[in-house]
Amino acid sequence: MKTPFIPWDVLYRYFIKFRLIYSNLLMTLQISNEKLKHLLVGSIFIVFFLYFSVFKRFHILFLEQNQLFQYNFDFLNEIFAFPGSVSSYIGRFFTQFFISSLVGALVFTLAAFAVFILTKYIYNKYNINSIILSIVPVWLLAILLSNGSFTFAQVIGFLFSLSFFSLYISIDTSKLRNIFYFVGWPLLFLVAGRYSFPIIFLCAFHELFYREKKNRVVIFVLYIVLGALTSYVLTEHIFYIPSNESFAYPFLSNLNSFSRHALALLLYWFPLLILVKFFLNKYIPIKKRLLPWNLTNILACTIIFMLMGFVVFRLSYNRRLEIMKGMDHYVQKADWEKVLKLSDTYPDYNTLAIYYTNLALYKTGRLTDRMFRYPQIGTDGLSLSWGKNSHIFYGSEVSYYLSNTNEAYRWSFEAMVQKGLNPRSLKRLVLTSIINGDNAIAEKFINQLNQTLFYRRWAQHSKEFLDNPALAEKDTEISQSRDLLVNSDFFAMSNGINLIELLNNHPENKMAYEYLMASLLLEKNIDEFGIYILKMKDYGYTRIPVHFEEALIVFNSSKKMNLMPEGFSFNQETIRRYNDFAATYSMYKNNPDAAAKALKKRYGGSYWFYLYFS
Amino acid sequence: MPKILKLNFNKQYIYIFTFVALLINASCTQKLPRFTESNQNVVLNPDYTSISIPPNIAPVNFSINETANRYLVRIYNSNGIDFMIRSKNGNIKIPQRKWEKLLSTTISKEYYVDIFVRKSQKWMKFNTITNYVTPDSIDKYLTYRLIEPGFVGWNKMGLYQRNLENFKEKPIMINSLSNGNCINCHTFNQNNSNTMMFHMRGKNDGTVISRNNNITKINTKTNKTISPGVYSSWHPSGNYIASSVNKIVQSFHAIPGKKIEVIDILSDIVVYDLNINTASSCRLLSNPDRLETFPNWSPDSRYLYFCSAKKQPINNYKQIWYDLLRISFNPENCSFGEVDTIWSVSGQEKSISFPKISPDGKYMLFCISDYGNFTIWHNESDLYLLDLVSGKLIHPDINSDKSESFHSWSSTGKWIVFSSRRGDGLYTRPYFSYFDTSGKMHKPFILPQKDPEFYFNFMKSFNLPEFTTNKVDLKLRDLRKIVNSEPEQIIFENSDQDKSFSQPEN
Repeated sequence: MKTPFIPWDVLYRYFIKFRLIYSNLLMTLQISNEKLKHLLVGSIFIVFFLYFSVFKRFHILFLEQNQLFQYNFDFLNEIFAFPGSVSSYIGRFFTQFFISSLVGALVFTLAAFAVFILTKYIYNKYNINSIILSIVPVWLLAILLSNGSFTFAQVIGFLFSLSFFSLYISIDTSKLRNIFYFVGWPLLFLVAGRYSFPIIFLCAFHELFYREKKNRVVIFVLYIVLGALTSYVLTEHIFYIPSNESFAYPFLSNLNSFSRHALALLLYWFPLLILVKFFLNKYIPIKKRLLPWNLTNILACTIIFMLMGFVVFRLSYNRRLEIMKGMDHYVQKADWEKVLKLSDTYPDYNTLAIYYTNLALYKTGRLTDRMFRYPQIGTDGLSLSWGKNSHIFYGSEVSYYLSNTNEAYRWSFEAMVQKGLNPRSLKRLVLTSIINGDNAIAEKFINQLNQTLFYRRWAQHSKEFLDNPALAEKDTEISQSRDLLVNSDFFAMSNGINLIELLNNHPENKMAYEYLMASLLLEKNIDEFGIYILKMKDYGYTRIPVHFEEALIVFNSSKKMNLMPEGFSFNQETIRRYNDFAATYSMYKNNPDAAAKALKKRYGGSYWFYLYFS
Repeated sequence: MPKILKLNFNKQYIYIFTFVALLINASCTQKLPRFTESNQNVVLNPDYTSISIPPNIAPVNFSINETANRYLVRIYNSNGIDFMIRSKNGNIKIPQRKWEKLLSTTISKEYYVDIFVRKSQKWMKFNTITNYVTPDSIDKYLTYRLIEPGFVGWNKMGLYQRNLENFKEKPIMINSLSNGNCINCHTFNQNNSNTMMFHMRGKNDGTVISRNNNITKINTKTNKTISPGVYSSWHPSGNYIASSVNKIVQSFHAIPGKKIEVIDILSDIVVYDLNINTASSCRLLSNPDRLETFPNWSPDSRYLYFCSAKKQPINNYKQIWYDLLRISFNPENCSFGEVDTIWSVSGQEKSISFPKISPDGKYMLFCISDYGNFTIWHNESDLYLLDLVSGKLIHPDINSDKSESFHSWSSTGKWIVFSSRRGDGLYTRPYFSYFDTSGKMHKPFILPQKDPEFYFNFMKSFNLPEFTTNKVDLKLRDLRKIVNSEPEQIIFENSDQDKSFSQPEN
């Protein structure tokens, strides 16, 4: 095997040239090494901000949707609920401002900068002078904050812990330091939950390895015993949680494997570092370890930072998830064109993306013309299945627009129970209750939103519908839904939507009709399609939608019939296309894969392609 | 000091003391402002007007549903208790001590509440409210489950005990201790918290029983029964628990005004003998063609009341109509006798559920609805009182146009508590009603809370309220160990081998 040829001598010559140009540039601009260091660090935070504001903006917006911050005493009282509840409270306070993704990105960046400053301070106390090491916690935060489960409450908990330790090591007097720990750590546990545990080791190691006191071993042991005892006593007797779960708060769920490792490293980074530093000190004097801050090292740092950024982008950034959250965001805004624009960029199959795409296609009047130009997964792409917890938050959308108001209410209520109070569920509960005429319960949900900063106005506007029923009648969304209210009862299906019953109640419900037809096409139920196509005339179509035509041609061809809804006729182009499709398909009769390949480019977006090859 | 001077000096003290006393008295005895009579009734939230309350109830704090600049409330009785409470926002919190004094001096009498509001610098008085303090105290504690009125899922829930004489509420069991499972169907033996049980579903499932300071966990599901125990009732001896076993299907309505339908497609009743860890049943309680559920023991230990309906296919759920039956029971050998129909409504296409017998055995309180049994989701569900002595059925004037359900008696039989959705149609709240010696039920009132606006803000339902006379004394640490342990499996005796029944001796 040939070894790859790498022209090292050429590379080295270019490096020397670059270095010369670079140092001349610095001299010209009169930029000192120190200033360059600050520029480098500053640019890291600019990149941090840009990463979250540009690439993770939908992620930030989604975080805000998942929770609610209320300005009332009962909400404040929750800070005594679990260890780390104070961090949760403060985290939620900031998260409410993520209603603007820019503000969210700024908050993230400022928090990361605070972590950096505290890290630098701690390092200085141990004579660790390394920009790269100072950036590591920031880098880990970037990885973790990219994960939807890692809420801002976690960052607050971590900041509290770092601040505690910074204060701790700033106290020179041993006695005062000990008192600070014995009094302060239990409070830190209450405030920061899991993030207080590494502080036990930090403080204990600090006493054991960095203080010359004779009783340092005793202090070391006492620190650890206090930590264990406090958490045990408080969880057993104050909080109603098993003591083996004391590490579990602020609550964190469903971190992926990579994020779990990043969290572990974040938690134990500082204890490990000061341990390593202590033992390293014994063997390599600090002067020999400190690298000079020169151009080579600056360049090396830059490359390392770029590599760190690459890891974040490659392993933490999930483009698919971001697109999906973007689609979700625009569905909430009812900006259907943007939903479709994002759907065009989604690389493969995802139930939620397809569900939202189909909804947006209907809302833009294109479901029956273009749905097969997008990936489809059968009827699962029309409505979400109830059993999956991950779907709970999204499932009310289609039901709401179908005027299946009770179902929309049910999904939203269950989402609220599972996730806790959140703006999306509450707003939907308000609207469905108003539509249903359940004014008393609508007012209760309005009351919850009225105690927030950013939903107060919406709540007050909704309250006007209760105070003035005529206003509700004038609101298009409410009045249209009321016109289609179910008046003949039926039960919800365990999976899927009872479209036929909705149509029986209100044959004029066009969305129910189109979703029914779409479901028949997706199920390849051409026979029933042939029955319902005749009802097309009741819905104001000026022509037969493309996919209806495609399916009708197949129906007529297979049944040897000439079925046609009254007042309509086939588009000749569709007939021509079908004949071409059929002829090509016949050519590859015994080779479906080859047929699919041959037909995909011209007919991949047609119903025929779905019918024969999905 | 000369005598005269000494006397004068003492007089000075007397004058000073009298002046100070008068000053204090003046500041305490607030004067009523000038007002005009409105001759209107005020609306209070909650509605604590024209009610009968026990002498040991917590203050009935309320808010005045009237827009005004200032509010003044005068509470007084004919025994010289008279105090006023001022408010800027209409929320009235009655001081505990003054309240206790008021009640203790008003037993079997009335106290009065005058409401004044100030609008545009003028005070206006509403019609005086007259409330009655009953001679019968209410049981000191109320236990309930707090849970969202959801559909399928749940999150945080727990069993709580509230001291009815003040506002203290203590958790008995919360599901954060048991891996977030579902805790349900708690019940006590004759209002005594020394003997209690509750079920758990999901992780760590089983039934937890606390009896004579001993906590155990059992698995009531056997391969011969439909399900683990559901609705349960303690035999007065404390030796038996009758439980329904049910196969339940939940469906969701599409029509406004209805939400959930909970239908039993199979149900039987089994009786669990705690002393031998064995459950059994009989043909009359586990008829394959019928649905038997909601067991409730008579206080004399000799009868088991229950509801029974003809089994129907699920599509005919609106034709599942339960009647009230009872079967005789011999506690000495856990055997059953004959079944009597106590009250039949199926012929009128109605359905009885949740029968609860009074402690003196004279009355039966149950729900009647159009069909089915899970009546908390039926707006038409009302409470009915059956006089078991005279056989007269009474529809008391305590019902509303929303669901009334999940009721229980106090230990004296003078008070009932029931769950009602009359407030907003969704969130269940506990209401008390006094049952007087003439057999009349007085206007119900809601469980008092410290914050008058509590119920408007609170996002959980009060489920299955039950009175107890004493505090639940379970230690959470002991309970946690038990709930997370493996349950002991119960044995089920073959129901075909009915034991021979003989009437127990009186």
